[in-house]
Formats: sequence, structure tokens, C-alpha cells
Amino acid sequence: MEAAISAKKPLKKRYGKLLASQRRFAYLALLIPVLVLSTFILLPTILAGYYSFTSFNMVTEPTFIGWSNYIRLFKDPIFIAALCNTTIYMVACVILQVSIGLGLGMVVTRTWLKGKVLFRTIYFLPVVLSMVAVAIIWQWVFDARVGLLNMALDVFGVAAQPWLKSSSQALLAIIIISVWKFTGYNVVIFTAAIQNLPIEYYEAAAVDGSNGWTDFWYITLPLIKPSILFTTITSAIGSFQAFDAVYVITQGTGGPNFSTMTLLVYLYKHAFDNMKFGYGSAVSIVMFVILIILTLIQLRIGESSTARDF
Amino acid sequence: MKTLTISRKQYASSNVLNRISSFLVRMLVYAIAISVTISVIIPLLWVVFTAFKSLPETYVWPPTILPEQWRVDNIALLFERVPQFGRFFINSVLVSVPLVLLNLFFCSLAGYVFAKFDFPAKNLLFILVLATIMIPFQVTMIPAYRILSTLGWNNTYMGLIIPGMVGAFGIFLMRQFMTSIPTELIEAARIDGASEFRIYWQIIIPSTTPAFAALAIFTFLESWNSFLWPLIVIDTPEMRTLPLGLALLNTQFIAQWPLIMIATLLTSLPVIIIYIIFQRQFIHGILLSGIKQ
Repeated sequence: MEAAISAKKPLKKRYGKLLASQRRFAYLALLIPVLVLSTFILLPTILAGYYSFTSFNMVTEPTFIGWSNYIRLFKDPIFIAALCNTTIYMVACVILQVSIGLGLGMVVTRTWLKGKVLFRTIYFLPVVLSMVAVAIIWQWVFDARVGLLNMALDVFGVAAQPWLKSSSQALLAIIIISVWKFTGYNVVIFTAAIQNLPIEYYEAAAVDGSNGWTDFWYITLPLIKPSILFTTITSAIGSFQAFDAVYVITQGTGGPNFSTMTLLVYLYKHAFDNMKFGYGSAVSIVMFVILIILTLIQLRIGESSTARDF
Repeated sequence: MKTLTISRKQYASSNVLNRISSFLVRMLVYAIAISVTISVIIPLLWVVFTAFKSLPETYVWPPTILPEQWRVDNIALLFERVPQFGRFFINSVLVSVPLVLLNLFFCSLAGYVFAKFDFPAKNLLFILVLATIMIPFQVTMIPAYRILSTLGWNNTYMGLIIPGMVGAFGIFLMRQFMTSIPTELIEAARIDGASEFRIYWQIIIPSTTPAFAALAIFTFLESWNSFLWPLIVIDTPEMRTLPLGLALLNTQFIAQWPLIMIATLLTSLPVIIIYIIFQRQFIHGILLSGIKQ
């Protein structure tokens, strides 16, 4: 009895030591990641909420002013314009990026298509480029005098368009740029989803006399719903935060005549150009709330539509 | 018997129709695939051609497609007109490379601990990390900039590197991979007396190389192309990274297309080369990022 205990004791001690060393390792490993994430994301989030109720220029301490920033915000016609532009831009980007992405995903998954890999490689290429470079390339494609697009239109006898210099066409031009840049990402997501569909479904449908269209509507589309939901959410979140292209092309003005002013450009301009950091924080909180609502709506739609299917 | 022959006839005619329609569909699919390819490639080729034209040649009508003469010395001209361009490039490398290495190290370490360890407050810490993934950048940027200024890191490499040295997405990606490593393997190494760090270094890292490759590529792309954060942190010309430098160039040399295009080309070339070499890992990484949702 005694011998058994004494034999057990050191083992238990060793086990405890082992656990302690594991614990120490775990905390050490997490120390820096948690410190960095807390300092540069969690703490700032709380501070952003606080700053949004203050007047703050980064030189003197913030002074509390209640809801003033938010009230001023919704009274500013340029903010309303930015809100509208961002909404139009986001809706257009989501529709185009998801539908074109899905269409191209269908195209590059046809088994008989030759050069699939090459097509996929090229479609994804714009995704890896910097948005600044893409914006510069397209600013020149859209150039009224020497731009590629007007040259191409000239071939078809269409008169030169002002594009980025016109307040009615500039936002459309920015939409085209982001479709060119980001659609390749959705192509990759859809390609993988379509390739993973079990071939038996199509074989069974073929026995029942299905064709390409019925296959697409009744098999492919319902089965890749999760991918459609995913690309819709990522495209929406991404385009809601549009900044680089507009900033580079309009030099931060959101022009001409605020027609390309997005929420993030508006935020940047007020915070970092005009040093109104409290006001900028209020914009960021409004954007945050809209993003949360958007995501929740999309998840709800996704949930209910998948629930109906199964 | 009669019905059978009719149905055979019908079958034959529908077969011909099917063939014609499937031929048309194939033509249509090829037409789409090729025209999209052209619309992606043409602007990029045009950049390359224009980069090596003379300035007057970019304004002639009708336009030339290939340069009349390939002016390779346009590259030298860029460095002459914008002497800091080389510095922009070095800055981008000096920021991107440490960011990749730090992310690989800290994300994998944290991912490993979350996947394979049990310790008090694990769930709390995990929720903390989880929360950061949902907070958009524009919410944190103003206060983060203030914290950075307090630390005296604005306009420094530290300011560009430290806030991005670890990310929730990387931690999740790594955790996902580490979960599938058999725990017995780790236990066995412990019994053999290996230290915890040695187990991580010599067993865990080698068995999760695909995750490392994916995260490395992601982090590199993100940091090489990053624009908004450097725009906030950096305010002297010599500390600019390539995207900032390019944006500056674009405002300084309006309509000097060869100069702007050569700079665009030099900025984009590293990512294009890396993309072409590591295509498979890129696609893999994109798909992994989809899994996290």
C-alpha cells in the first residue's frame, strides 16, 4: 500500500509539472497576439465609440459633445450623397460580381473546355494587383482623349465619352473598375463549388431527360447556394468599404461634384485632412452599424432559403 | 411496334437538334471565355506597350499598338525623374517581408495553442480573437492612429508592421489545420522529453506547410498592396511604400503616360511573378478563406 502510493506520487508530480509547462507555453504563445489585437483592434473599437461623441483633433484631449456629430452628419448633404453613392455602388458591384463570377465559374468548369487552367489564371490576375495600380490603369483606359475605351467606341462610331470627368458617368466607371478587379475572386469560389458537386446528380437527371438549362436551374443553382451567399456577403462588405480607387482617381475629392464620394473617402477626408477625428469616428460607427445590419439580413435570407430546401 | 418506331425517329431528330444546340452552346461558351480573357489582358498589355513608348507617341491618332521603338531607357528616366522610386520599392520589401514572417510565426503559434492546449481562460481569449475579425478597419483606424502616435510610431516601419503582425484570420486558418494533427504525436514527443517549443518547431510546423504557404501569400499580397493604413501612418516622401509612391506619382506627372505606366508595371511585376509561380497555393488560400465563413 505504502509502496504503491510512493510510486504514484512522483508520477503525479511529474504530470502536474508537465501541465504547468504546457500552460506556461500556451500563455507565452498567446501573449503577443492578444496584446497586439487588444491594442490595435479591441481598444480602438471602444475608443471609436467614445470619440464619436466628442470633438477631437488629436492635439488637445477630446471634449464630450453628445450626439452633435451624428446630428451634423445626417444634416450634411455630402454625407447623404456619400451614403447614396456607396449604396448604389455596393448593389451594382454585388449583382455584377456575383452573377458574372457565377457565369464564368460555369464556363470554366465545362469538362470539354480547352485551356481551362489558362482562363482561370487570367481571370484571377486582377485580384492580385494593387488597387492603386488598377485605378491608375483604368483612369487611363477611361481617359477621354487617349483612353482605350473611347478608342474602342470610336471603332463602332460612338462619340467619345467623358467618363471619369462627368458626374453622371464617374460612378459607373468606378463600378466597372471594381468588377474588373474583384470578379476573379468569385470565379474561384464558384469554380470550386461547382467542381465539388456530385456527378451522380447530373447522371440521374440525364436519365430523366434533363438538358443544360434544367441542370443549371434545378441542380447546380440550389446546391451552390452557400457559395452565392458567401460571395454576396464578401462582395457587399468589400464594396461598402470602397476607398483606394476613388481616392487615387479623384485625389481624395470624390469628384466630379461628389458623384463618386463614398463613405470611407468622406470619413478619411474629414478625419485626416480636416482633423475632425470625432466627426470621422461618428462616420465609422454609422458604417459599422450598417455593415452589421447588412450581414445579419444576408445571413437571415441565406438561412431561410436553405431551410426551405431541406 | 408503331410507337416504338416513332419514338426512334423522334429520338434521332432530337439527337440532331441536341447536337446542333450543344454545338451552339459550346461556341457561346468559348466566345464568353475568350472575350473575358481579352478584356482582362488588353489593358495590361497596353500598360506594357505604353511604358516603352515616347511621350508624343502616346498622343498620336490613330494610336500605335506596339511602340515604334522600345524605349527601355524609360526605366532609367523614371528613376531620374523620381529618384525615390527605388526607396519606395525597398520600403515595400522592408514592410512586407517582416509582416509575412511575423504573421507566420505568431498566427501559427496561437493557432496551435488554441487547437491543442487546455488552459484556464482559453475560451475567453478565443472569443477575444474571434471578436476582432468582425470589426471593420475603418472603425479602428482613427484610435489606432492615435495609439500609434502616442507610442511615437507614426512615420516609421514599426507603425506599418506592428499593428498588422498578427491577425485573427491567420490564427483561425492555422487552428483549422493544427486540429487535424494527431494529439498522440504531440504526447509521444512530450514523453520523449521534447520541450513544448521544440514540438511546435520540429513537429507542428513541418506538418502544416500548406497552411503556411497560403498564409504567407495572403499576407504578402495584403501588405504589398496595402494603401489606406500607410496613407495614414506615413507623411514623408522617403517613407512611402510603392502604392503610396505610385499614387503620388500619378498626381505629380499628370498625363505623362509612359512614366506612370512604367511605375505601375514595376509595382505590379513582383505580385504577378509570385502569382504565376505560386498559382496553386493562391487558389488554395482563397478557398481556405472561404471555409472560415
